[in-house]
Amino acid sequence: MRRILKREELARLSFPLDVERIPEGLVFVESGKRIRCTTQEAIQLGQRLKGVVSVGVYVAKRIGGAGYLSLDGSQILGPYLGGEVVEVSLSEAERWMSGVPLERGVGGGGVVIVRSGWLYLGSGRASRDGKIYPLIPRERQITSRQH
Amino acid sequence: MGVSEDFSRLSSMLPDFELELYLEAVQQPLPECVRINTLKFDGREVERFLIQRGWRLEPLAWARHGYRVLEAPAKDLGNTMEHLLGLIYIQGPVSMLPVETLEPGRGERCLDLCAAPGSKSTQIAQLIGLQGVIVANDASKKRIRALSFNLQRWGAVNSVVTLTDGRLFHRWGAGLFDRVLLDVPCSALGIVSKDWGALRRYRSRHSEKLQRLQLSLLESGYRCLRPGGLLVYSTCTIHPLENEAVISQFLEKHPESTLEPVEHEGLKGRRPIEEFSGERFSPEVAKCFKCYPQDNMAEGFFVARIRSPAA
Repeated sequence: MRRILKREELARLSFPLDVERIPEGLVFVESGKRIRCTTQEAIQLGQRLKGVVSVGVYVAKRIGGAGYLSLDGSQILGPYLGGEVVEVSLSEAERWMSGVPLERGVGGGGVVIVRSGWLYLGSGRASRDGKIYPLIPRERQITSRQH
Repeated sequence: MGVSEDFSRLSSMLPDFELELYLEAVQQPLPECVRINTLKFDGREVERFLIQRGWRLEPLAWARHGYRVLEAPAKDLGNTMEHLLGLIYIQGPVSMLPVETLEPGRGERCLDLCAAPGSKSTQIAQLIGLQGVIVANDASKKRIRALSFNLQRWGAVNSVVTLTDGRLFHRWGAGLFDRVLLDVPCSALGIVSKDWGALRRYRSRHSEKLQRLQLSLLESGYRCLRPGGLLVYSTCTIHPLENEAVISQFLEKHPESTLEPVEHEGLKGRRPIEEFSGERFSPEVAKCFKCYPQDNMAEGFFVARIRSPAA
């Protein structure tokens, strides 16, 4: 079942968002565990069509009470994030995009957002071993190159 | 390079075709080109980032945000961080022309009827902005995965993906769109550098069969236009049956429509032919754009621009 999320619901997700600053035209739709970002115009047009597979872009996923931003979700919503973001260098970004966890010595548990300057790199799971493991789908990871 | 008998016959029937130059051109890899994502990012930031990472780019005269890659940090562009993050889209240089010919504007409703794998849909998405909508349709369940993947990677929040037979789309989409792109399935004789086997496998009956499909898709796409809307028909083949003949037959059936000249800068093209295999085409067809692979050492393409009458 699909449902349009109210902005205050968006703010209650585990990644703190300054929802006031998100452009008016963007709409967030929840379908199962996934949240997609789209526009009112796309939803309205989609309702008149047949064979609709998807509308907009997958930006976030709920897991239990928590949630995390997808790679594209972090890029679309990154500028409106209110919480702490883990900053990485360009070489770290390349390793991150290859699926290599970051050594940050952070405490266990929770999800963090990673970025390199203006470029958001998705979410990572902070583990008890002090590493941040990338939550990036395999098909979006760099493959077969040595680092 | 082996070619089928049917292809040999076709090449001898084309009055302006230089087989040797064609074969030489298609044996070269396509020039590497990319489009910069201005939908999810600030295009200038992306450009600066690419330069910082060791990319050397040269703008394409006929495509906004399109660049020829002179140097890149890796051989396989598809395996770069820039591609995987959605900063760039790898796309053939001439393949960017159909969307530029469509001229999608901010806030417009656009339909890409045969959209997979999504190069042109993503190009439209970035030109129409958040107020516009791109409906990206394809008939193949398998290919729709690539289409969804690419629109996701591009951050196309303004997109709707549909899986339907494009020939029937007018049943629910009639009059809904400002612009329709019809990059139809074709014999792909303009892009054989991607698949040399296509020349060996080519049979003329493929083009005859494809022409029927192309005409039906064109009819359906045209009906989806609002009054005064614009449709762009394109193929990546050199076969007149799938190009000039389709447009000529369409114009005969729809005298109320207007064929507009395809204008572009920087690409070499040639005049569409007037007659093929005893069939004489409408002189209007001369307004279409056609290029062979040897013209730009890139893809061969055919592009037509059709306007529906204003209400």
